[in-house]
Amino acid sequence: MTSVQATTATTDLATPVVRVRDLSIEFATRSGRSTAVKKMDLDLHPGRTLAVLGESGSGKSATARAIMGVLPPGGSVTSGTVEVHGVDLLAMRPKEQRRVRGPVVGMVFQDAQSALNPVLPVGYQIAEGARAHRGMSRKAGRELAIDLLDRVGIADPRRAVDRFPHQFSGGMRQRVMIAGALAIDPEVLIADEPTTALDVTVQSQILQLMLDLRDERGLALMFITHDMGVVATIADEVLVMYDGHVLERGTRDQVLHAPEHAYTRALLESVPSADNRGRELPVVAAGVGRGEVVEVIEPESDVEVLSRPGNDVVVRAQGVGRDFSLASGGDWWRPGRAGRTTAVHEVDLTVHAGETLGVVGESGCGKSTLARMLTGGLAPTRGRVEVLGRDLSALTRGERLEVLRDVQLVHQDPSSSLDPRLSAGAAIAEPLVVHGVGDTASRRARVLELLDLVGLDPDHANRLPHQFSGGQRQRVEVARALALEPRLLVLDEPVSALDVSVQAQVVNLLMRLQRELDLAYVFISHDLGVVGHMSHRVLVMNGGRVVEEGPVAQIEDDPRHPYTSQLLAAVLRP
Amino acid sequence: MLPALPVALILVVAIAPGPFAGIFGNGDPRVCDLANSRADPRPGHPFGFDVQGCDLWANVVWGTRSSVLIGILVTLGVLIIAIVLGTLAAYFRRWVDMLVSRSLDIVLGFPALVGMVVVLTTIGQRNAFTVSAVLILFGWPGMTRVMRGSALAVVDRDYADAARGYGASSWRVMWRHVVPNAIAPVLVLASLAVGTMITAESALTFLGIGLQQPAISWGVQLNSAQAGFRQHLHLLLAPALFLSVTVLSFVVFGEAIRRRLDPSHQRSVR
Amino acid sequence: MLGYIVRRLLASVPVLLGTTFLIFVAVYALPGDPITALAGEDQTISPAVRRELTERYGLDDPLLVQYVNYLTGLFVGDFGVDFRGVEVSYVIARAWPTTVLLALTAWVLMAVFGIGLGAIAGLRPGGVVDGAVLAATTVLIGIPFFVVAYVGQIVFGLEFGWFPTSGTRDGWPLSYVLPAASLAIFGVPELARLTRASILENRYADYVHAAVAKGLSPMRIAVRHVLRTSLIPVVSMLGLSLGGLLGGAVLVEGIFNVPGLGYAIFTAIGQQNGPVVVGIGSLVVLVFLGVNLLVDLMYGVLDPRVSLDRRG
Repeated sequence: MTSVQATTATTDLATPVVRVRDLSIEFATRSGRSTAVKKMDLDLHPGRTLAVLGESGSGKSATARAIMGVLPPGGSVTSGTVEVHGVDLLAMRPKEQRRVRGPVVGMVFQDAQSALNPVLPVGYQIAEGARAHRGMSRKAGRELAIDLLDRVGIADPRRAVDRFPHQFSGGMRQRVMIAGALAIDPEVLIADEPTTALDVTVQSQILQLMLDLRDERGLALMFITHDMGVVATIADEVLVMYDGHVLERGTRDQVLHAPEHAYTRALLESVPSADNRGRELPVVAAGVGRGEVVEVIEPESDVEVLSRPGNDVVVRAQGVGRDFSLASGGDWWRPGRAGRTTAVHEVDLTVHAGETLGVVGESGCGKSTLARMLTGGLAPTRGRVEVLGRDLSALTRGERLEVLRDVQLVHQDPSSSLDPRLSAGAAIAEPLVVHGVGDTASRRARVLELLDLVGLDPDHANRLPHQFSGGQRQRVEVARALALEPRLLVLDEPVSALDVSVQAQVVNLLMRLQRELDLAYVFISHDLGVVGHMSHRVLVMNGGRVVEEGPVAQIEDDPRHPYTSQLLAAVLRP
Repeated sequence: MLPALPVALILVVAIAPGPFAGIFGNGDPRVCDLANSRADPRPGHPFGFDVQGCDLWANVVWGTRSSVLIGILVTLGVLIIAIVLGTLAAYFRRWVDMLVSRSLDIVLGFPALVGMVVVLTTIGQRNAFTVSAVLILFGWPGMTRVMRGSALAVVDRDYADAARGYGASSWRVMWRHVVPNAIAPVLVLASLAVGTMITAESALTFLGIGLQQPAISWGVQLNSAQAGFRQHLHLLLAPALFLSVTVLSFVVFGEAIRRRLDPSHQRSVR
Repeated sequence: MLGYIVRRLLASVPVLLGTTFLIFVAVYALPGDPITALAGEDQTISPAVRRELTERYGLDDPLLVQYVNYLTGLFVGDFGVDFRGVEVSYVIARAWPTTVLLALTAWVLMAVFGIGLGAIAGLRPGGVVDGAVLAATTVLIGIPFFVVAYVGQIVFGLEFGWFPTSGTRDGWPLSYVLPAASLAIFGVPELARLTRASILENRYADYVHAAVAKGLSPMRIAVRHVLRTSLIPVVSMLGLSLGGLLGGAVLVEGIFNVPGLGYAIFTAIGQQNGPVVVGIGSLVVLVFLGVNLLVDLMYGVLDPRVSLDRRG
């Protein structure tokens, strides 16, 4: 696997195909109207890529959707023009618009799973645009779909053409989506975070495909992303958005290497990686930024502050593995086929106090199963897990409960790991109530102490989860995990669902807590960058096995296993 | 909340029918004179008289009590069964789920009305108690299925997993996390079910296999109005009107609750 | 596909056993004297007749033996003999064509109006039609359908005299209009609402946006993407409601004196004729299970995500 190279196309910069001027978009909300995009300008040139970079809520998707006429309900364009070949698309009649949207400007959506109709074969969906616009016959449409499936790299296209979306993997579905947009032979392709939901190795393949297609067909590409690495790979020009405003625009090299705006700088520096390993990351103060005023909090010092691991072993796994039975087709007259699948083969690991063990792997590699075995949520099929020297499988129920107080799991998605009906205070107090720790008053005091520890205010205790931002919810979850004063936190993708700037806050918090409380971490992630930033040692997992283990520097600079090299090659760096 | 007003009024009538029955001066449903059999409305008797010469207005007002009472009690019974079985099935899965789901399939294997007819015919005992029991027997599977589905979704959420992670017992996870978060859809169904149950009770009674004379109920009145209703339309219309208004009130009330609880009605844009 | 049908048939065996056992227990094993129940509560029975009846129905046999006998009878189409000595299967054979005709007529009416109204409301939410459909369905859900049947009978049968109000002497369609319409109204509101909700859910789906982004015409998008997907649950419900219509026929046939299965059950209840009630009940359960199987097969055809060969 080679890393993706941006091939800067030679283009004439004469006239853009798409010229957006003064575009403003508003959404109707319960509390009136809110502005999603404010006076936005952009140009798309043939053979070149414009990357629109921003975090969630920055208005980057709304821009793309307004161009395509697919704003969500409540959204509307309040001013501006979208000129395609010099004619304002927004001023056209619907029938004329349909000759532009599709045939001239195509779009690839973020989530191919939901952007493909689940009940129609992919061949039909690829060809339907061409059939509608060019009066192509069913048969010709089918041949076109087969050609395109072949072009986007789907094996055996003659058979694939009759399959349904659910029969493809995530990466393959995204290829099908791209084929569907290309079928009408557009001059412009708008891609809204098309690789965000994909594994890194798949992501790099899709990006390469899009670059190839751009050069082959001279497409003008508008690529929406939140990922600096993607920008570095694919962009010619970059536009940085925040809260509906364009904060910065320029060539890729200008924006990535000499950013003018403090927000862009903060975004770049707040991406955790082995390069800024162990250092505190700059953060964008949440909720402060309005328009062009963004407050960036720079770290106090630029020295490495990674904790120093001790010698006490907190958790040790020996040959631990887990099988799952495939419960399929069992009936009363005939037992289900005794299929078994191995999620985790045999894993050995040891974590010391104050140490972070990073676990890296792509989806389905068994890392979440491992996490649940370490925290006692799932009994291993083989091998043993020792917490502070005590074998979990040899304990009585009551003893297990006591021992498991010392290991707590932090889930990936803070929007589903907090009970929506319990206030933050009640949620944090729950573990104390369950274990009968203290009385109401002392628990109340402990909750306030924990809120303070994770950087929340005392009056946050009465708020419900939906009243928090994603980063704050993750803080509440960490506070709840810390309530019983555990020695080990198993963090299962704790920052993957968060925006870059929020991710930086949580990473800073986790590192500070580790120093202050001498905590051991098992930090599970698909992101080599964040693992490299805060781990002492790293395990690389693939197909349920540990393929490589070692200190961060060794893994990054001198990988021994081909899978590790492949993973490293697929990582996109700004 | 406006839709609650008619329901509140109906509840008041059901609890204390006396004063309402007496509005026109002849409030006792048991004071009858066969000489007045099927007589038309006249002053003091706005709905006229039934077959046995009793004041129809008083009878219809008193009929509210049994209908509403049965409707509410049956719904409560069904709701409790649905919450308990649905939650247990979703939480413990395996054989508990097997047991609940299979029993549910068996009961749903009957078209409910035919099933109720068969059971009530064979029981022979027809009173408020057996009719309620039969309505519960055939009413629980629908709501239980919904509760099970809704609880399954909650059990799979990370917060249920997290609660087990910090040592909460199964009982605590179910009671504190699963039930409160999974209950909204069945509450909506329950609020709509009161009307359905009232209809079902009157339908069974109307068929002659529900409540029997001398019980005072709309179903009984409709049943006895059947013979010769062409000449005496008022006998049919009075209980039918009360029944429809009552059921409609509960349905509108249920719809209002649905709008309150259903997240799809309050999804924020963007 | 064939394998799936066989498996589904086998899988419905426990349900069938459970339901017939329940019916059986209800009739033969509940407290009370089955002979009295058979003969009707008002009859006085001489000891000789009682002995003979006990003999004929094998009432001295253990419960399970009785059940197995009843079941084997059902298997060969023998629904037993009622207390007047009439074969129950004869009663059924005479009545079922009428009921099937009635139920199918009602079913078609229900499908046309339910889906039609729901689709119009769903494709133009917030419009006049939508508001009217919403109000009308609320009212229809609120009014018990046997009241609707009576009102229909009075207004269209007696006042206007457009349709006969009783019996089937005028044949299809005239005699079937009022009963079928009353029966259909039973299901129209729910079907319309489901259609509307399902369309609303899919109207803003990503794949609809993707179709818009390809410049497809609104008509094509509505038909190919919105309706095609939205109608899957609707079709499923339409299939399942056929069983409900059979149940509703009990009431409607009683009201309109239509000599079908429902009317037969209605009369049998009046005469305390247990074997007929049980026989027709068992038959309806069988039909119900068969319809459910068909609906599931249909689901597999309509929704490719449902793999018939992998589901139990």
